Amino acid sequence: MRALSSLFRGYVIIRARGGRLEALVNRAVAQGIGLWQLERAGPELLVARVHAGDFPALARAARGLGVDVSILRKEGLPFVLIRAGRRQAFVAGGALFAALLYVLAQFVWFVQVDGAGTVPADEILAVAAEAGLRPGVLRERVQRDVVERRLHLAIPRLAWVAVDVRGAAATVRVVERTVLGDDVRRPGHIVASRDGVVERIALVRGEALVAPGETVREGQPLISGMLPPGSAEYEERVAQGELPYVRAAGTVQGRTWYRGLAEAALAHSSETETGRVHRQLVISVGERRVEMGSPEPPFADARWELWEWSPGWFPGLAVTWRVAREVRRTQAPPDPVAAREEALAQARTQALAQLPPAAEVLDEQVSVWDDTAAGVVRAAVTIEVRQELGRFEPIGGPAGGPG
Amino acid sequence: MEPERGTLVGRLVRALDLPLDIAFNLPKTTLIGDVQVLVENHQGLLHYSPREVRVRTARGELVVSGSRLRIGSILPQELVVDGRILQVQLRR
Repeated sequence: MRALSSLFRGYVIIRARGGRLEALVNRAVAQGIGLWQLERAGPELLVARVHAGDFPALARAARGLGVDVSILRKEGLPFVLIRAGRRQAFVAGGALFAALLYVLAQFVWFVQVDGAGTVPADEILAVAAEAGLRPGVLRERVQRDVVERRLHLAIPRLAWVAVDVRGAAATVRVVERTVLGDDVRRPGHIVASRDGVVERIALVRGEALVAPGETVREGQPLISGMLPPGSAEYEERVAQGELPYVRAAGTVQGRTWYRGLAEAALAHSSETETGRVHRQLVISVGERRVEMGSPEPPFADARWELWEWSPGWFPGLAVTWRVAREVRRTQAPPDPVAAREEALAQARTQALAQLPPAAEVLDEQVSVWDDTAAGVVRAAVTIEVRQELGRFEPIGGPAGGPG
Repeated sequence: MEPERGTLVGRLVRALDLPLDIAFNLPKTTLIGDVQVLVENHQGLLHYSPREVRVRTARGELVVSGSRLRIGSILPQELVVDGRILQVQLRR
């Protein structure tokens, strides 16, 4: 504790030369001057430390005793500051740095957007910049409420906007409105979502293009959103200057198929470690290479492990540690029944995984065949289901603007 | 002058279990291992050399002998001797 306080107060290392050194110490102590780390360097020589502020009193006491006191060194913060005072350019540089840091901290340097999904962040940033929030602007000048209001007005899709300025970074946090979009009112057709056979059509709006029993291909229109020319509605729309399209609606139930394919090995092989291990260490520096241990193990079947280390601070050095563990490979006898079951189960899982949630399974067809040349059993599972075949597709494509 | 024993003040101090060094300004010497001696209530340094430090106290001269002795600090109430301590002796 004393060491720390002396560092702050500053102390001097003094040298006292003379005959009555003990008397000097006693006189100093009597005056309330503390001394520390006193060392008798010789019969008439004493080195000690004393607080810088106490030194004049000590020197006065010494004069009366005929002891010569001089300063060997000055230590502590006050002296560091005094020395720094002499190096004015250094201190000026430090002050300039602090000032610059302070000035730079008054600006917003980064603007980021948090929470934007469908609204592009660039659009939000552009509006924010118009409202006065852009990199390089004074923090004080940023009017959060103004920026928030402008964002609300310019981008109606934003349900909530908050501007948060922290240090040099400003964050525009937004929450977007969840809207059904213009899609619900867009005209369009109902098309087949996959290949199948139509069983039943329930028409709500539009014109049916297929009949039960018909085979349809994926993407084929099932219910048209285009009004038939000549119909009353068509004429009415054209007379009003509108396009003769409506939003087709209805369900198309049909049968379709899902297929899963899988294979399983007829015989399984397994590896067991015998416990024999062979190691090799290779150290290479540039072209030079030192190998410890032979590169090939004294056994045939091995599983290799490799560690490589090449430190970035020593280009060209590479240490490689190769470990070979002997394994015994055992081949289980072929088991066609188990392999078939495995292949079949996998194929079925694969087929079932593709089914939509509301599908009604009607039938399942299974075929299993051995491929002895490849040593595997293959299985195919086809599941026939009844499901909704139709899918709405707006006119002009799903990515187009409002029609 | 024997203020500790017999006198009224001495008996009172003992009855109240007061620390004697504080009650009668007696020196208190603490020896830490063989590396440090702390003397409280000293009355001045009589002699200092790397082999011997003599300190005046209210009960005589306290002599610390050893080697490479150093005075760690000296304050009005407290004196610390560092170094290899061999002997602490009270001379009257």
